[in-house]
Amino acid sequence: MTPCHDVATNKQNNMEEKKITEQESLELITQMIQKTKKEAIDVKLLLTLGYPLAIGMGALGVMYPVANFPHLTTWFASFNLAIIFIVGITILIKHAKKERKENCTVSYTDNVVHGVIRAHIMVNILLAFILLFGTIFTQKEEFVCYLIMFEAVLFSLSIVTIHTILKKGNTSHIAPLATTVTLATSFSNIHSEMPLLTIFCTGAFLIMAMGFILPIHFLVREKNNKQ
Amino acid sequence: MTELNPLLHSQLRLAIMSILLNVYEADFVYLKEKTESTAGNLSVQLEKLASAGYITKETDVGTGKKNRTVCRMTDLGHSAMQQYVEALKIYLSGL
Repeated sequence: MTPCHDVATNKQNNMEEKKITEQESLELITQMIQKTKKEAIDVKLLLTLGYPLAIGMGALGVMYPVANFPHLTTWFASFNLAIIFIVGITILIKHAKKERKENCTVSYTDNVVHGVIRAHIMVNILLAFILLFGTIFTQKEEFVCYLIMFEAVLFSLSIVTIHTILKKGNTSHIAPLATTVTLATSFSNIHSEMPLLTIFCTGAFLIMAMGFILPIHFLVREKNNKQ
Repeated sequence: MTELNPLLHSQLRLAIMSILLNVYEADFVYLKEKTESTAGNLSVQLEKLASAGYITKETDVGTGKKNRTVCRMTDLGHSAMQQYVEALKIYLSGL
């Protein structure tokens, strides 16, 4: 067998490293990979965005047919934008701070998931602006309905993507299943006597609850069980 | 027989590369803690790996009291590690 090369490229350097055998090399690689911190993604933070939005959507659906409240949809759109903007930006700042902490590492998974979260928040901020200005200028109920539903579906899609990246398969079917069933039910009820806004807001609430909040709880539980 | 890359066949440099193989990025303090090396030695070895193009070093300036050096493995580093592990397998299978 060919002897190991002399690794020293700079002989004058006194701090040169210890020579190792091939067997030791393999052990070292294994040991270092095991020592390396695994992903530390904090998906729980997304719940701070999910809960108020889901409650807001549910409240709008329930209040719309019973409360005689002028500009209810505009109020909701403002609330929606405020929540997504404030909480979303806070989540982005927290993630950025975490990555910049000393004695820190970012795994490949962390990096991709943070990218998904960043993109999701940015798209939702844009959507919330469109919802608010669209509501003010068009005053059309259909516009608000479809956009709220679209927003809820986007939330569900983001969690499906995160699930796929993390490869945690046990509960990964919940979000797409809940979203598909709710979408189908909502669209099939369009011609019923119920107001359109109530149908779509209830649908969006259900998508947020079962397609976003519940899967996050399952993800967190799976992560805790693993640890 | 394929020769083991001399730049990687050293304890500390191999430890650094193994860590960076597993993560997207790691900072100097993290590497120092995991490799249990001294700051001076680590710094020298990081410089060698960086000049070989196996890793990149970025320093965040002005974010806190101290500068923070973040290291990432390059594509060249990835292929060097892959070749090194392949060569290692051949060596060990010959034993």
